[in-house]
Amino acid sequence: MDASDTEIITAIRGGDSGRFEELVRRYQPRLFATARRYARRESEVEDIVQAILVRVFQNLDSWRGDAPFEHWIMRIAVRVCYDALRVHQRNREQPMAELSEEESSWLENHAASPEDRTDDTAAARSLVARAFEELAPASRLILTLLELEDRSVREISDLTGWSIPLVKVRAFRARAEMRRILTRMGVEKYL
Amino acid sequence: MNLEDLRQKLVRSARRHPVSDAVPYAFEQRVMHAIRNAPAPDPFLPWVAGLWRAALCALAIALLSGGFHWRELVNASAAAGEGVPDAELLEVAVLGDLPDFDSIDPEAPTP
Repeated sequence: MDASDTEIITAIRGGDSGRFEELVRRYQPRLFATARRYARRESEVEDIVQAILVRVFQNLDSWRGDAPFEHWIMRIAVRVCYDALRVHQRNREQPMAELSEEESSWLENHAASPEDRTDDTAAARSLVARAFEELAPASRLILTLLELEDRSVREISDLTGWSIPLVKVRAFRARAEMRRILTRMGVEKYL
Repeated sequence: MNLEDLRQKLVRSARRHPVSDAVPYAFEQRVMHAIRNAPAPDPFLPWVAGLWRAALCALAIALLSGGFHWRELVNASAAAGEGVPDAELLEVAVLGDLPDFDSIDPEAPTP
C-alpha cells in the first residue's frame, strides 16, 4: 500500500529527502496538466513544473497539515504559473497575427448557424488559445480557473489568495478584455 | 448573436478539450537532481525585500516632510520681511547684536 502524503512528508522532514520522489511521481501529472494551460511551449511546461516542485520542497516545513497536501501544492502551482504569465507579458514574442483560413472558416460557419452545437473544433480552440495569449496575466489566470477548469469563486480565492470580491471583479474585467481582444482579432465582421 | 455568445461558444469548445497530463520520461529524476543542486533559499531574503520597501517609504516620507517644511520656511520668511527692503534686512541681520550707539555717553569714565 502506498504511504500517505503525511507519512512521506514526515519522513522528508526527518531527513530522508529522497522520498520526495514519491510525491513528485504522485502529483506530476496534475501539475503538467495545470502548467500546459499557461505555458507557450512544451519545454516551458517542464521548467514551470520543475519550479513548482522545487518550491514545494523548499517550503515543505510550512505545510501544517490542516488542509490536504493536494490543495497546498496546487496553490503553489497556481502562483508559479501566474509568475510565469507575468514574465511572458514582459517578453511578449510577436504581435497578433491575422486569422488563419480554418479560423475564418469556423467563424463563417458560426455566423451562418450560430446555434450549431458542433463547436468542438481545432479552429475554435486555436482562436481561444490566441485570445488567451493576449490577455493580461490576472485575466488569463482567472478565466482559465473559472471557465476552463470550472472552479468556483471560493476555490479561486483559496488558490490565488485574492479576496472573493476581487475574484469577481477580475472575472468581470477579464471577460470584457477577452471580448475586446476578439474584436481586435477581427471576429466582429462575422457576427 | 453577440460577441459574448461567441466568446462563450469558444470557451465551451476549449473546455471540452482537456489538456494532456502526460509526463516526460524520467522527469522525477530531473526534479530530484534540481533539488539536490538548488541553492538553499536565503533566510534573509524576505527581510531584504521588506527592508527595501521600508527604506523607500522612509525616503518618500522624508522628501514629503522636507518639501512641506521648506514651503513653510519660505512662507514664514516672506511674511517676516514683507515691505522691508533687502538692504535694511541685511543691516538688521549684521548689526542686530551690536549695542545702541546713541545710548553710549562719551563723557562717562571708562571702567
